[in-house]
Amino acid sequence: MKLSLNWLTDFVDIPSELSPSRLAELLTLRTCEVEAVEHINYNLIGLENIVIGEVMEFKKIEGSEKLHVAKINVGKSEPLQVIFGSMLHMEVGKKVPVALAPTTLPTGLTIQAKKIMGVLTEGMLCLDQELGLKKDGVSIHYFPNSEPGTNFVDAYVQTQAEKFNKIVVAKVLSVAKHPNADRLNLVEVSIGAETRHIVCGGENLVQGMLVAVALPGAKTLDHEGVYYEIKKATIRGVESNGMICAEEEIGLPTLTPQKGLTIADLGYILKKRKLPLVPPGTPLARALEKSDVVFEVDNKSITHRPDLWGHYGMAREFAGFLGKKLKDLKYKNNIPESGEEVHVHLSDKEIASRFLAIIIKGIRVGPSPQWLQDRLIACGMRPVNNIVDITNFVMLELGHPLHAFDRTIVENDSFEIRFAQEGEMIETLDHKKRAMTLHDALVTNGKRILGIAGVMGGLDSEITDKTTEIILEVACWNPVMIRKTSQRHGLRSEAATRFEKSLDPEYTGFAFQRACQLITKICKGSFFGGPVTDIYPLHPTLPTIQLHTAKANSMIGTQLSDKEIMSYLKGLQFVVRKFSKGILEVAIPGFRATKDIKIEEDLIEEIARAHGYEKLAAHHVKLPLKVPMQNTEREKTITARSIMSLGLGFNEALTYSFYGERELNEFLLTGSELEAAHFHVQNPLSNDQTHMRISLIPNLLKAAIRNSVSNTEVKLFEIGRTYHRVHNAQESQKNMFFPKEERYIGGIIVTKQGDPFEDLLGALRTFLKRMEVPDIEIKRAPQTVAPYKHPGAHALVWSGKTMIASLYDVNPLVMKNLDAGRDVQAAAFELNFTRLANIDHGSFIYKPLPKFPGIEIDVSVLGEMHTEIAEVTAVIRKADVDGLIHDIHFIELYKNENALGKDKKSMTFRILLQSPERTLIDEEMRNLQMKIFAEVEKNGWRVR
Amino acid sequence: MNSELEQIKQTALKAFDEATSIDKLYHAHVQVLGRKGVLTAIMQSIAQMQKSEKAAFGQACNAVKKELEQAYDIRRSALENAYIEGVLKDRWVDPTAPGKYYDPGHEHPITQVQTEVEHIFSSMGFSIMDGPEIESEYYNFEALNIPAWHPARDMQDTFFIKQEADPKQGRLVLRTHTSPVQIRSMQKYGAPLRIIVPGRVFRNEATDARHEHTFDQVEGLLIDENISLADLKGVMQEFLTRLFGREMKVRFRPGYFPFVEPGIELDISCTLCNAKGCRVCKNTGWLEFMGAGMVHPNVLDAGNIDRSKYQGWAFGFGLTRLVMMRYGIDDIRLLSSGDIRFIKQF
Repeated sequence: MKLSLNWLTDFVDIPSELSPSRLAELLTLRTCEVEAVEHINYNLIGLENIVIGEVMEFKKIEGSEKLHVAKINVGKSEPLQVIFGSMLHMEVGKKVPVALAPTTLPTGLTIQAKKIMGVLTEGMLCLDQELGLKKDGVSIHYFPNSEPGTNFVDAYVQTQAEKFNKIVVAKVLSVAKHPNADRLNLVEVSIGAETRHIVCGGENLVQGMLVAVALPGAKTLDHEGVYYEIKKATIRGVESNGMICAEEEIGLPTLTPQKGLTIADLGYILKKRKLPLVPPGTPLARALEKSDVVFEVDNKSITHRPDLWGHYGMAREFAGFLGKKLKDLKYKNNIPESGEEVHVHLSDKEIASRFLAIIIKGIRVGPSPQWLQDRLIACGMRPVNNIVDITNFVMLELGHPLHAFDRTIVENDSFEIRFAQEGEMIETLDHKKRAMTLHDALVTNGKRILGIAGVMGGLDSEITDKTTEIILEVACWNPVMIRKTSQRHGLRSEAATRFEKSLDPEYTGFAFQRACQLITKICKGSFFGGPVTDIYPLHPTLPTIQLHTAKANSMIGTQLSDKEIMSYLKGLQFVVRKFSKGILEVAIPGFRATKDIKIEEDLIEEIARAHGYEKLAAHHVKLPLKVPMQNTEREKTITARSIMSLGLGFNEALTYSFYGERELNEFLLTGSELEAAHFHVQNPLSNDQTHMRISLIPNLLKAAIRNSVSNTEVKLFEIGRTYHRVHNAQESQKNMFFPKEERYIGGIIVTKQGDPFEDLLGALRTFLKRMEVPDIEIKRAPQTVAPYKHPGAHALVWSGKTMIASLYDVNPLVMKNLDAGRDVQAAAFELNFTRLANIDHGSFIYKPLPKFPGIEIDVSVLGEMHTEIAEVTAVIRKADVDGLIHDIHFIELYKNENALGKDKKSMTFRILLQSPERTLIDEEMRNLQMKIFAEVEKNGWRVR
Repeated sequence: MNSELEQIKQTALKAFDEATSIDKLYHAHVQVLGRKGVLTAIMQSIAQMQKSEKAAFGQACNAVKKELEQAYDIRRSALENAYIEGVLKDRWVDPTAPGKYYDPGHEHPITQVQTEVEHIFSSMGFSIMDGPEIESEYYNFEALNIPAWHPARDMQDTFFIKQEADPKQGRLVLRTHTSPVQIRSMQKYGAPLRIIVPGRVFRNEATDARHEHTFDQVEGLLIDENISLADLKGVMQEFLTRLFGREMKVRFRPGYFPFVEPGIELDISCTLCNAKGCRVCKNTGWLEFMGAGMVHPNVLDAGNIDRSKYQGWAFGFGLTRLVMMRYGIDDIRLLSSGDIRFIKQF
């Protein structure tokens, strides 16, 4: 939401020594986040890249009727070449606004260097219409007095100042009665060096007041908005040397407190606008440079504060923090007690807590005054017409949305507010047909639907140029209902955003009165058709909360006195009464009571922020020295990660927790018994987010294959969760509600050379050893349920009786599905880390170092192609009846059909013989060797 | 006999002198003084000599032996010195060569920083907790004071899991924050409680360079007697100063989160410009770091905490954001890309 500083100063006196950035910081520290501070100059927004250029020469482009090419001096060493059409009357020496390519104008026009009919153009000469200064026609501003290259905004501001030429700031020196007229005064003013005498009817003139004086030759506005020239005149026999201006005469919004015929109190206006007081004689344009500061507030930081969605609420915050008085909301409308009135029937009081309506006649729809448009533009809203602008203005001022209907649309001056029927159709303003539900409320006239309550109007509900009578409607809709309706139909609007926050029905009244005031004031000739219809079934009772100041101090970490706390709360307009020592009774005003402040803690927050969080000293809490609770799985995860990466050379990846149908197909899971184990995401954003992973491997393997394009070998691992749907053991028909979430380690080797399975097997064995997992056994898997695993190259890892991992070649079909390239092979393991972490590895006792030397013997066994290493080592151990073997290492595998025969392989083992008691002798070694040879041969293998 | 001895001596001395390497010198030494050396053989023959000759010849032999051993030692140390001098003079290395190639793997930056965070909090007595990533609406929202109609549910666009709702738990969701673990831990361990919860969270939003549907958070919760916001400031200042390795300032400002009251946003002094004001902190000197506040009474109730005795604060910060901030990573998607060119930098 955008906040105009000018607007805020309508309600609270903000000291001018506080800079805009300091104000933004203050608001951020006390209330809500200010994301940006913007300084604006009306009309000139977005024109910062335009410069003044002087036409040096120009000529017609050959072959074109209309186009000319000109050399323009823009204050650089080289002139710019620009093409322009015939809409402009151009002369050498003219100085005009030039847009330098590339740039984009606020009208959306993009300017780029390009060739037209083979001629280069490097910018554009800008019409007022192209700059957005005027809506219609064809016109251009010339700047005869500006240097080429001058920034356009500066030059333009200068010409505007010339427009206010001869209107100056003056100080009233004396006020005396006109000798010949009761209602006129003779006023003596100082305009700097000179003193002037002026006849004036203003009733608020006092000595010392700063006023705007139009000197003879100046142009001011009359009541019809037409300029006329001020001349020296004689009024009832007294000479008058100029005119003292009211706000509307110089096109300013009315700020001066109005009583009778009122003159613009410049001192007051300058203060309100946070402008410095200027000495008499200063040109008015300079004194009132039409500018503003806009604070952009992060909407997310005010979702919980219904009162902050308008300037008045924000001004209240400033008033509280600056210790200033907030201007009361008081509106005086002369509303007749009888006449034509609006009939309202609220069919269900759940729909709205208040509903106000009135008929206003004599409307002339047209543009709203400039000052009002300026405010809307400052807040990022586009002016439409006076009625619409006023409703928007009131919404931005008080935070309460409202709506004006063309009376002819309503037809019968009746509102029937009801819930929709299921499937009831309405075409909304945006030309979309929408089907309503039983929970959406409609505004109807009893016959026809006029709009979706609080969210969006119906198709023809807008005010048009032909509108002459309106029905102003302001309602306080049920916030939850509005929120649901707006969500259900995807209709986000400024109104819905505010209504859903829970508005205060008292503000429904303020918004109504303010809109009535502005409409009758701005639309000259408009008047109320009759009395107000005010449906207000239940006036809310304001809650009272008991506040324990000790608790507040304890939670914030302060030692504030009861008195300080009271003053903080009062500053924010809470009504505070001391109940007893340490206990305050706080009445919550309506604008904070609807949703925001409900409990004591809410008030504690008010105290904390009013006090200022920055004043809070960092405190070091004293707590008993206690070792944190143990989290074995976490601790082991850290060890596991460093073994996998720093130890074994795997890189750690983190991949998404979901995948989609595509991965299911690629990994052959579709139709497998594992498919049913997946949880499905109900509202994925894309089709790769539909299935919660039951294995880390699909996403990890895909990442590895992407990497393998530029790497011969890729080793990746991930530690993360998998999510399995499991059946409830008790009720076999039902699944457990929560998934089985387990932490897994997935490891992958993707390589273009060597045997990834063997490599990964070694890595896994080392890993398990370093993790001190006891009783490891890795065995061929009897069968495979996961089709992405190679059924033959698949092993299971056991620690005692607990299966903790599987290790396998990736099914080549999967590799083909992933376009891995035929030379690329992959092996993977999936280790259930949750299970591993729960295995007690017991205590470890070191083995003493051998005291006697050992003897090594190498044995090569010629076995079948499918002979397992474990079979051979078992046979070797079987031969060792005396228990001399200390260790058996498999050291080499050799395959060679010519040398060894078909389907044969040679396995070489290095056997270490050692005794803890003595040095072994050669004979013992030879004996054992013989026994091993015999045992090997007995098994049908041969010793090589 | 003596002349033979003299000749042996002269030959040996000459051989020692002519030996140009330690190996050759050793060889010459073995020739004369080794187990089967010439002098050794002569000395062994003394035993067979007549008693009268024995003593004199024995003395002569020993004298020669002694002289030869001395000569050997001198020559040996000369050769060793020459060798060392040679090594010192001739050895040349190329320090610009890459050296032998080692390729240990790399831990993901997120897990590295997570471990660091865990260590720091652990040293302040915080236990590390885990909780499910697929949560129930009850734990993810209701128990955290976010009822179904609450606008805060908008701020946390949620992935829902296709499964029938449970009457108590509601639907299953991918947790949108680590906060549900607050409730689970309070219910399980009661008060006092000092925990942090690092973990993966999910938001149903489109991915671009700054937004991800999957990221990591760290939740913190401290419940004890008389715990205040000032204590939070103290703990966070301590934590951040250790994490960034320099004095860090923190700033509180109002913030709204349904599960805390009062609620605050915590900013840290800009890590890039050290609070002087720069492009990254939009010239404010501050960077948004986390949301926090005093645990809402409804949340304490959901966690079965005795409110008459205990109060506390909770916080949650984006671990992913912290990592990006620390290493200047400008595209969040790199973190889940599994691209080793990225991972290998950490």
